[in-house]
Amino acid sequence: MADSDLAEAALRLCQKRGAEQAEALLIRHQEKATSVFNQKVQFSAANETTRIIVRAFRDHRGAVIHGYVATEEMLETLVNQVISILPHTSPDKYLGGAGSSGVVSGPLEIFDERLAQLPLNGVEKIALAAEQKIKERDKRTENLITTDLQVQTQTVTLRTSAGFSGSYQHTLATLFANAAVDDADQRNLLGTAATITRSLDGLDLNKTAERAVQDLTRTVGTRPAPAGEFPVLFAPTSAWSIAALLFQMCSGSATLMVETLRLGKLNDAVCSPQLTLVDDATKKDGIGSAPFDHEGVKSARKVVIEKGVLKDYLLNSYYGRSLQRSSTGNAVANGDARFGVRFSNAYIETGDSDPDDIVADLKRGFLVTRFLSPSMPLSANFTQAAEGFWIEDGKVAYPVRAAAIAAPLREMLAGVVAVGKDLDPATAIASPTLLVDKMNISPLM
Amino acid sequence: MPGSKFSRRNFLQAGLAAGTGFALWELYRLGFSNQIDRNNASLRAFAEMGLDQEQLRKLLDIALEGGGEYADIFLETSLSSYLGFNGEQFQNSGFEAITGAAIRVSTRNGTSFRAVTDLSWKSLTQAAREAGTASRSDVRLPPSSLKPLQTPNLYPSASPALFEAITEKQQFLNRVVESTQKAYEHVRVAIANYRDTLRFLTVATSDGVFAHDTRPLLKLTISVAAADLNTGKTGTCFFNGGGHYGLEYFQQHPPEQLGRRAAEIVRHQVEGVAAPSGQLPVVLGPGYSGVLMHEAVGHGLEADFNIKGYSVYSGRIGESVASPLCTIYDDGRRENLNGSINFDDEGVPSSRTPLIERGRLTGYLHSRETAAKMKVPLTGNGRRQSFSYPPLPRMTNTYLEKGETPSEEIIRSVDFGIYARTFWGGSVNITTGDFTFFPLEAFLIEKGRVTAPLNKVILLGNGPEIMNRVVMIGDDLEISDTLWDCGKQGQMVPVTVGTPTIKVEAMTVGGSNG
Repeated sequence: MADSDLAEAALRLCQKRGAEQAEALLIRHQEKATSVFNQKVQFSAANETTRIIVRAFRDHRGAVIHGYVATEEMLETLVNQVISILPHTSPDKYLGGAGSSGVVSGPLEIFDERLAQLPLNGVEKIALAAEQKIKERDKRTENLITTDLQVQTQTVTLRTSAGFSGSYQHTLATLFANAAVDDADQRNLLGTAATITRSLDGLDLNKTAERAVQDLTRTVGTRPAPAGEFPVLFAPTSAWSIAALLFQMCSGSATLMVETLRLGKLNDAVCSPQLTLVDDATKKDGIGSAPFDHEGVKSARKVVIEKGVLKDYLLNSYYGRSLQRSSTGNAVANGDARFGVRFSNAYIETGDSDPDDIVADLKRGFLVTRFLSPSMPLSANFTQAAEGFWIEDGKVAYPVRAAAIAAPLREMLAGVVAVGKDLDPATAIASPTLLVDKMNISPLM
Repeated sequence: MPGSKFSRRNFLQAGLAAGTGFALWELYRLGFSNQIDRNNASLRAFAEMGLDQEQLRKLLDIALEGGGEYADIFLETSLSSYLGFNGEQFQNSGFEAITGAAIRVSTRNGTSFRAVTDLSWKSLTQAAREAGTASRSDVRLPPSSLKPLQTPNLYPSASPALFEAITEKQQFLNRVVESTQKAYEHVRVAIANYRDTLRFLTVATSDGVFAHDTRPLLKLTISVAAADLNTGKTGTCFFNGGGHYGLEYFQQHPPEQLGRRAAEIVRHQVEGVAAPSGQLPVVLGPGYSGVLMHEAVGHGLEADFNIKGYSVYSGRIGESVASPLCTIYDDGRRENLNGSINFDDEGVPSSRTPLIERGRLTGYLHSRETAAKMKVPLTGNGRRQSFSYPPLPRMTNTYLEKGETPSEEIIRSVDFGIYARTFWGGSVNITTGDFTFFPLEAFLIEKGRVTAPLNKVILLGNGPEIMNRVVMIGDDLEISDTLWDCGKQGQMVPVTVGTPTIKVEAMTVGGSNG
C-alpha cells in the first residue's frame, strides 16, 4: 500500500471510530550503511522501514499510536486500541491539530538524487576511500581505522483531517571516522571526526580525515589542568552543547521547568547580551530543514534570543495555544498527543572575535574541545566533565586530562564575554567559540 | 506458503469474526496466556502470521544459497502502552507497535544485514537473497535444521501489564504524584509517566537455534522539579522503578515509595550546600552507585572495542586492572531485573560472566561476531534495541561482588569526603578510560559521619585508576531496580547496575565551591 493511501486509511479509520480530528504521519526510511575496519568492509546493511504516527482527538481529548505497522489490518487493531483509551485521558482545551498549515515555497535542497541512488557498494567504496585518506595523513593509524558511513533517504507524508496533504523527501549522509595509533607508547590514542551532509558532494573525505588526525594528537602528553577559578573557552566542537542548553530553555514545552529553575521567562535577559540565538528551518541544505513540521505548519526562521533577551519560544500548536501564541513550526511527532518541540537548524549567531585573538588575550584558561557527556539536562547548576587544552600566556600550552567545570547556569550564561566569528553551521545545532569569564575547574589528577 | 500472501489477513479476520474487535490484541493475549510455556507465545504469534519453523528454515537456506558461514533471522513484535499524569490531567497516552524482521549473513570477512517492516514472503525472501548476495563465501553449509532452545524463564510474571485495564494503571500514577507532592512542600512540578511493553521475539540461526521469548517490561518514572522561593534554591530529579514484571510489581514496590524517594532527593538538592571540589575520598552507597562499574569498567570490556584495540582494557586479559578487593560480574540471569534476558538477541542463553576477579581482568563481553573473531566462548551479550539494528556486545546487569566490611565502618573511616548514593547516569571515553557520573543525591562526610546534603556535584575518574583506589568494600550488595537505558552507537538497551558500599580513597569531585 502506498504511504499516502495508508495515511488516508488511518484518517478514515479514526473518523469511523468517532475521532473529531485526526492526523497521520508516515516516515519511510531507507538506509544503506557500512562499517570499514582494517581495509575491509566488516558490515553492510540495507534497511527499509516505515514508521507511522497517528493522532486522534475527540472532546478535547487526545491519544497517539506510533510504530512500525506494515498493513492496514494491523493499523485497524491499533486505531481501535487508541480510540478505546480516549475516554480515559483528561480533556485539555489546548489539544487539537494545527488548523492553519502551509508549505515553504522554493527548494530547500534537502534531497540529493545522486545520494539517494548510490548503491550499497558505492557506499562501501566511499567508506574505504575515507579510511585511505586517514592512513595517508598518519601512517601510524594503519590497520586501526574505522569508518562508518550511513546514507539515509526519508519520505515524509502527512495527511490531516483539516485538509493538509503534504509529502517531501530528504537525504542524509553521516560519516564517522575513528583512528587509533598502533604505537606501544601511545596505545590509548583515538582520533574521531564526523561529517553530516544532505548531498553526495558534501561528503568531504579530506576534511573528515584531517579532523580525525588532528583529534588524534589531542590526547598526546596530557597533564592535569590547574585547579581553581579560570576563564573557560568553548571551541565550536563543545560550544554546541551550550547552544543546545539555551534552546532547551527556549522550548515552549519546558516553560514550567525553566521558570521553576528560575532561568527566566519571555522578555527576560537569560544570557549575555553577546548571544543571539536563531532557529531556521528554511536554511538551504540545512540538516534540520523541512518544508513543514509534523503538524503541517510551514517552516520558518525565528530569532529566539536577541542580544541576551528571550524573545520567542519554539512552539508547536499545543504549546502555542497554551501560551496564547502561534506555532513556530517546530512540532515533532512523538507518542504524546501534544507532540514535542524541537529545533531545526539552531545556532548562536557569529560574533566579531577572532578565536586566535581570544586565545592570545588569555593569560590562563581552559580551552574545552569536547564534553565527556555532550547532552545535558536543564539544571540550575552547570557541572560537566570536559576535555581540551590549557592556555598559558596567550598560547595553547598542553592538552589536559578530563576536568570538571562548574558554575551556576545563569552566571555561566551571563558570563559569556566573547563570541568567535568561527560559526560553522554544518550540523543541526552549532555555535561559534564562546568565552566564559570564570568557572570552577577541578582536574582529574 | 512461499509465493502466497501471508495469512495475517485471515488470522485477523478469524479474530474479528470471534467478535473481539481487537483481533490481534486478543491473539497476543491468548498467546501469552499459554502458561505451560509462556516464552513460546512468540512462536505462536509469528506462526499465526505464516512465519513458522519451516518458513524460517527456508529463509535461512535462501540466505546461504550463495555460500556463507552463518545466517540468522530475528523477528520482533513489540507492543507498548503508556500514559502520563501531571497531578491534574492524564496526558501522553497511547500505544506503540514495532513489527519487523532482520536477516543477517556472515562470512569470515564481514556481515551483511537487512531489516524490513514488510513481513510478506516476497519481502522476506528478497531480504534473504540480498543479504546472501552481499556476503558470499565459498563455505557451503548443509541445509538448516532448527531445534527449539530451552532456557529457564527469568520473567515469571503471569499477567503482563499490557493487557490490564487503563484505569488500573492510572491509580498508580495518581499515587506516585500525590505522594511526591505530599512529601515535600516545595515541589512545583511532579509528572509521572508509565509504560509497559511486551516484546515477542523469535531467533532462528543457521547453527540450529530456534528460540522464542516473550519479554514483559514495566516502568514508572517520576520527574520532579522543586524550588524554595525563600532561598531561591532549586532541585530536579528523574527517578524510576520497574523491571520484567506485570502490575504485581507495585505490591512489593508501592508507588508511594518511589514518590517519597523522589521528593527526598529534590529536597536534598534544594537544601544542599555548595559541593567542594578537588581530590577527595568518596564513599559510594549500595545499588545505584554500580553505575561506576558500568562506566569505569563495563563499556571498556565490550569486545568490539577491544578487537580494534580502542579500549583502555585492550590486550590486558590476565593483568591487574583493579584493586584485589574487586570482583565484577555481568549477569543476565537474575530474575526480573531490567537487564535480564532468557537469551540474547542472537539466540545465545544469557550468562553470568566474570569480568574482573580479585582485580585481574578475566574476560570481555561478546556477541557471536566478536566471540568468533577472538575464538572464545559465547557470553550471551549480543543485544539490539530492536529488529532494525544489528546486535552489538552490550552489558546486562553489571555489579561488584560484595565484600566483608559493614557500611557504617566504611563511612566512619572518612575524615572529610563525599557520600554519593543515587545517580542518574554517566559517560566514558573508552580509549582513555576517563569517565564521569552524575549523582542525584550526595552528602558531605565529616569526621566519620554523613552530614550536609550537597547541591549539584559530579564525580570524575579514570577506570583502571579508580578501580585500583577501591580500598573498602561493604557487605551490603544491592542491585538497583532502577531501569537504566544504556546507549551505544545510537542503540538503547535496558540494563541495570549494582554494588555494595565502596570507598574510593581519592576521586575528582566537581562542585561549584572551589
